Amino acid sequence: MNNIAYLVPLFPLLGFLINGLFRKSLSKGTIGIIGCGTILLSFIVSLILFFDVKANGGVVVNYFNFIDVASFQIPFAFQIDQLSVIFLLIITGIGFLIHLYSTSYMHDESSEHFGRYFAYLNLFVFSMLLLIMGANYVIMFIGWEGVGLCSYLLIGYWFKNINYTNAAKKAFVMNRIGDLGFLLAVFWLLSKLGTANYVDVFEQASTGLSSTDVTAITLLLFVGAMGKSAQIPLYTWLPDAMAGPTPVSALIHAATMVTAGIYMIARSNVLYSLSPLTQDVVAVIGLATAILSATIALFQNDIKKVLAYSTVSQLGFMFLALGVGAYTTGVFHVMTHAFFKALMFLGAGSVIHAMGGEQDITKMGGLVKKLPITAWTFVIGVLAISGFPFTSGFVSKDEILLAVLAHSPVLFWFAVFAAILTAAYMFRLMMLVFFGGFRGTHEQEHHLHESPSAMTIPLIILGVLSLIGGFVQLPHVFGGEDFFNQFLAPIVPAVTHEGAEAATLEYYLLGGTIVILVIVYVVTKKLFAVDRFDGVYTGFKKVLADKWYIDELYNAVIVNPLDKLAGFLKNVVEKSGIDGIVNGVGKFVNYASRQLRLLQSGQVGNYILFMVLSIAVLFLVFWNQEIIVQFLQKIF
Amino acid sequence: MSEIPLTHILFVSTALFFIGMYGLFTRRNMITMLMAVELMLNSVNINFVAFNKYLFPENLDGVFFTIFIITIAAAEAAVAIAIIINLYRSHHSIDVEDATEMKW
Amino acid sequence: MLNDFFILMKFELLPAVIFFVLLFIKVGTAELSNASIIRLANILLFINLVAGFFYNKDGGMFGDMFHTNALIVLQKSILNLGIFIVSLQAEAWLRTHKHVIEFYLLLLSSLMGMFFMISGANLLMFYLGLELATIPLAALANFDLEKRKSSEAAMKLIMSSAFSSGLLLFGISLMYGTTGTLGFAQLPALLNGSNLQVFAFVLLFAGFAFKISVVPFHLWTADVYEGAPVPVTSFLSVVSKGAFIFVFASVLYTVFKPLADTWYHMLFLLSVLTMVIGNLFALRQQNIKRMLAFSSIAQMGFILIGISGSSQAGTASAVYFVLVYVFTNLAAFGVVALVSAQTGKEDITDYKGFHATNPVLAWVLAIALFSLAGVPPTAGFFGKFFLIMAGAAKQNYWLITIAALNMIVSLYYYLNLVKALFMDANASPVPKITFGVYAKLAIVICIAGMVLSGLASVVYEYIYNLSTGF
Repeated sequence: MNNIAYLVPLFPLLGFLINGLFRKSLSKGTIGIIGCGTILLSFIVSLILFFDVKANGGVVVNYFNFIDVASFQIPFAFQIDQLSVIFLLIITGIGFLIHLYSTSYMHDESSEHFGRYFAYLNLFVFSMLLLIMGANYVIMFIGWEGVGLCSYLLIGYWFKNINYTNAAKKAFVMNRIGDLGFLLAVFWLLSKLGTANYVDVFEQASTGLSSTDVTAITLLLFVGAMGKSAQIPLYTWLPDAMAGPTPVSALIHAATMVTAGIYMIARSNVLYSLSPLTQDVVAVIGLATAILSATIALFQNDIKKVLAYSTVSQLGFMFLALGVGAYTTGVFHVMTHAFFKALMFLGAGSVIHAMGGEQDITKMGGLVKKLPITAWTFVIGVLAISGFPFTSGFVSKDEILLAVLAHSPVLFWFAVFAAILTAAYMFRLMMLVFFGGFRGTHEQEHHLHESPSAMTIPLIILGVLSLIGGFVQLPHVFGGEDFFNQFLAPIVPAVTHEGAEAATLEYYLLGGTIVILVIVYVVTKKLFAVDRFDGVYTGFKKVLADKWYIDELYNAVIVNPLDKLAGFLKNVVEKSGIDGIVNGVGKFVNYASRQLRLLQSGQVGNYILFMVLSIAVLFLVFWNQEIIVQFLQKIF
Repeated sequence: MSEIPLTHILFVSTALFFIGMYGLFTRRNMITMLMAVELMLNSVNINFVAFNKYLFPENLDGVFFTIFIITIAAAEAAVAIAIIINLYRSHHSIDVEDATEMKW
Repeated sequence: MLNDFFILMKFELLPAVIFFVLLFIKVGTAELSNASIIRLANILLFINLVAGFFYNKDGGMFGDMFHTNALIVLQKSILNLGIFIVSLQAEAWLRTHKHVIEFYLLLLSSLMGMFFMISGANLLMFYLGLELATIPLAALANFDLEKRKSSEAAMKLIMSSAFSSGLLLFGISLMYGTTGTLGFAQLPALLNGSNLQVFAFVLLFAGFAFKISVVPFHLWTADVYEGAPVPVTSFLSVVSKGAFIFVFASVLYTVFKPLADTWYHMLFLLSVLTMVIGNLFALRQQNIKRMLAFSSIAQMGFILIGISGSSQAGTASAVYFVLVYVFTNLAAFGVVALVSAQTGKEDITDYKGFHATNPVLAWVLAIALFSLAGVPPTAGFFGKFFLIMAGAAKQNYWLITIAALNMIVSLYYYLNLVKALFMDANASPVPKITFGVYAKLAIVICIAGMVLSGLASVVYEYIYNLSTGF
């Protein structure tokens, strides 16, 4: 059955080509059918692959040698195994729902732009599938860059707005900083092992790599993950990326692309397990990100910004799980998070749609009456992300907490704090949007309506999945079976929590969660389910609402100095510096007054003099080569 | 009659080379700069002939090289002067300082 | 024997034949229209390109002053391809020009010079080829006779290149003085690394560095690129650079192998300088040709990294990058040439909202810029990938890190231009550019090349197998 694996990415690619090339001649209906249909076909193939892998285990399918020279070979191969099929199902499954939703959400666009949108979306799915299915780091990197590019295109989709395009550029550049780390890690691996195939790398990792190598490679890979999965310090692009259409936020910036970092680390778990230092770094950065972004989410007034920071925070949770060695748990949280976060983003899209483009939650309220399906599915999402017992989020988050507790009690309490914050900002959002009184204009109130079925059906499906998605991994104490861990066991060694102690802990967590959620519910209902809400903050709340001023900090520390440096080079170094050197020599040769006027930039003689000086320097340096060699060795 | 030692000749040619180089970046008249380039090329010619005669008299590599350099120098000068004349038409000057419209 | 002469020297003879055909048309009495001359020249250049692929043979001539092999044939074919695309793109500008035939005559003599230089196995032959390649370039830079900037550019080019060939010659003369030979085959055995030889070598190296505009010998580049007519600029930046890189790599690897320690450190320093300075200056440029000039300087820094790898992969990656660079840079310059020929606009701000009026050209330029920036899956990514892999063989992770950092910096200004093309609003964008069949063909070749030479890994494997080791 594995010989059909190539079909999975092929369908979206076809969709991209058809929609991209013929977008002017196709009707919107046809574009929508092609866009959704290709993903549905991919999903079906993925399902077949899933059952095949379940029965027969994973394989590597070699297609052709992508690069084949004496020093190294890089085959174009797909790795179809337990880990990749799970991601395939998430991407194609949720991808299909979001495509379906988009046909309705983007319906007001002109036919040409509609086609462009679906072409980009299909291209994104194609790149993402390449990232997941590739059997070596080079193919993964190509997919990795591809999704970055599509994300750039989709964030800037409404390119009429200058802020949006700047957000797109910011996302791309930040991602590239991360990619730099990824690329360096690949170079390192290739130069040490001569291969980038997962199978070979993991086999040779313990023998062929020194512990320094492993630490450096894993840290560099993690830098890549930081960029793509929006971790401290590279997370600021993700909230800005919400400039794109809402379904794009749901697909790319919540369910799939941002989890690429998690996938990559879970895939490389053999390497990470060899480097405890990196694991600690991953755990601490993940936890810090989870808390920082949760505090920011507490006081945001833009519905999509809250969800964006929530995503960053949940990604932090996943990294925390990976960092403490619970790889399956991290992957499991990717899956449940994909359900409930996609649900909430699509719900937010439905709300924005109904509100006529309004995203400010201080102007919403009481929408539960007018948009019942959206509201109640959103409530399910909120319950799931807050960890309400027996929802999908409860199962995955509890497992993370237990794994963290086994690793370090200190981290555990921080993680609990972050989980409480999660519940708090989510209930606040829910109360402000759906309960209390309506705070918008009369026109908006008049215009309120439930979304069409193409938008509500995906909501309902995702709502059901958010509710019951956890049952594949229900703890033993509650009569469950860890199907998920068992399924992944050939790839990722599972961490199990057995015995009476774990059972007691489960009950504590269950009880604690209920108590906390009740408190949160009461408090937020009183504070936020209100008729008037101004959304203006002072004091420390303002610091949080302004995102800890991280963007300003980056501007001050990185962007402005770079601009200054470039300006300095242009104005000072080239005008005065190079001229200055030239002028100095002019004096030295005793024709000062005459030369000074002559030696200006733009003048050939000046250029020639500069070359002469460079040669003199080169000769002096290489005449005494030992000195320069020692100097270079000292620096590097 | 005792021969002039090689080092004497090399001294002259090296001096000539650096005088040419110096002239190239101190002169502002383009024709003079061109003459400075010729000085550099001629110093190379002296080098080649001297090396050939003193060190490797068995074949004529150096002398041939010199002949080619002279030919090419003529070609180069022709093109350079054509460019300078054309530049004079638009700038009304052959001062390099006046041809600094493009910079930084 | 005569048969050998024709086969081995086919690449040099064909441009010479075309040269004379065009020259006779010029001196003959028949007055041909510009359009028919351009058509004829393009057909001849196309024949020249195609003929390069057949009947090739390894061998040497003229007492080993001239040699050729499969890699050299490939390099010459790459240059043939480059000149063909340049000629296609020049049509928009030449259509109304007074001196069409002269343009082709100069172009062809420069090309012939490059071929002799690449095939040269003797410093004399090498020097003759180099001068034959360079002198026509200066005349070409001045080809817009009535434009002030054009003459200024030509003056700067001829003055500084005369100086650089003076340096080169002085280096050659000292090399001759210390070894007594000019042949590439005999030189390596006689190099002992004495001070005089190192001095000679530094001078030779500087001559090369000037030609491929490596910092700090790059100062002429931006001025000349800005002032010269756009097709000439693209010829300078792609074909002429490419030829010098081929020669540079092979000379370093074969003739100056005994001095490898010296030039490795030189390459290290200069590549860092070149990347950093090229990129930082490119950041601030307002004129698109100047920006592309500085960006091409930065690209040279990457090539030096590949060459510094001193291995079979070093040669292969440099040749491969030049191939990719032919497509990529010519695509970018092709669009710039069209816009410049029809509207005279050359500033980056003029390109705002370009996508709205010229979607096809905007996409071509965007793909070219992504390829220059090294974003996969464009060919530019693979070019940089192989260069860096070749450099990484020396375990020089600092160099690699600096290179990777520079890729990000460069992305910033490329992306700025992409942003201007697609996303910035402009009250008076560049009007709709009409382009004829020549420009269309050039664009198709460039785009196909950018995609195919990246994705079809056989291209690199083929080059790798032809390359000689260190």
